[in-house]
Amino acid sequence: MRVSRVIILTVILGFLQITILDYFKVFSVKPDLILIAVFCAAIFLDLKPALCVGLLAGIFKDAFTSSALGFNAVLFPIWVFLIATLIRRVSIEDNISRIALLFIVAILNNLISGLALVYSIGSLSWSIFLRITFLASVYTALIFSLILRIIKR
Amino acid sequence: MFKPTKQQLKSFVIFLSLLILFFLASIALRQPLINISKHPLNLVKLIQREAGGIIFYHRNLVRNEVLERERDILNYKINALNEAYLENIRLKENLAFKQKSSFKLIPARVITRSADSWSSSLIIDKGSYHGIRSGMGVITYLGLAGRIMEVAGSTSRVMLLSDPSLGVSSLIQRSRQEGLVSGTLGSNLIMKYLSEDADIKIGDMAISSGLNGAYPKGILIGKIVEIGKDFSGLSRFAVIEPAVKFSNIEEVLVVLP
Repeated sequence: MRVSRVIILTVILGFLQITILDYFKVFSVKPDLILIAVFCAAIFLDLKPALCVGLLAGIFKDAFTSSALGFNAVLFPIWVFLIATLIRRVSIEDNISRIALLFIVAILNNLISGLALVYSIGSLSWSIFLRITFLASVYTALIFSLILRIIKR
Repeated sequence: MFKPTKQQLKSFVIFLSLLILFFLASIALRQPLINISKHPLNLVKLIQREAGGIIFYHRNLVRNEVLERERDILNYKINALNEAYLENIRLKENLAFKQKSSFKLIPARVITRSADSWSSSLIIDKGSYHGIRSGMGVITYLGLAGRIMEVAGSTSRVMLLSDPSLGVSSLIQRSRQEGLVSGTLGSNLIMKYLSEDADIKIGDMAISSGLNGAYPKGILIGKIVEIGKDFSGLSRFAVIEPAVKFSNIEEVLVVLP
């Protein structure tokens, strides 16, 4: 996949994330389309352009969330680096493995985001924490499977 | 002078009676006659239509294309007008609220929403150029919405009441019981730190207390839908159904102190 295509995908998904996605919430959670774009960059691009996409996507996400500044801008390039390293060692070519890997990344990302929120506000109900961590990750993985089908066409 | 004979009178009465009978009969038989003749008339009409359709096929085809084009244009206009109509209603409601309320308000439009599920915030199209400062309260005509957290020149970030990071001092309208309302990142809010003997019932309305100064007193927050006990057992909490639907806010009002 070409760099320009991944950048276009990232821009489209980023804008969808901050505009209409609130209307598609399920149990008050929404999928992380920006993470999907970063994941696509990590699996389809070389390390350097993928890291750039990760960084820009992180900055973009940080701009539109009320989390601490730079949180995603740090986290996303780390995910890109780890995914790229893993792909170099283990071949992940089929869609099911990719979806499973994204699901794991989404869970870890949500766990870190959730723990950061708990740390900042003092307490958060376990049910809310688990609901967002797992449901948002499942939702993200399901949307990723749809995006993979679109990309394939 | 004309004097009718018995025979003439009899004939006249019979004639008049027949006229009245026919008149009444025509009234009585009108509907059955229409019903009976409806089917043959329909058949004639159908044949006429089909024959016309075949004869004027090309003319109808062209006319159909023109009408379809017109329909598409009209549909587009209807959609645009419908959107303008809905916006008009919302703005009228906002204006009515603005006129009713004693505090100064700045209307603003929502540009974007939070990018993740771990926070609940909005970005609005008004900022420091319009007099907005950090910490100001944000409401809609339905009730309390949130608070300004960051301000730029022409935009501001609003943290919604559904975000757990935001706490608002509130009152139960009926009993004046105080509590702290904060978000759950879900569809409901939670009112915390209620004492064991707090006078609170399901269906009570929660309003802002006006204690922190960001919001005026008496702005509606929502309705109590559930009451529970904390893990510690020392205090109770109440689940509130918010008056404002946070997922579809399009316009807000920023409260100037």
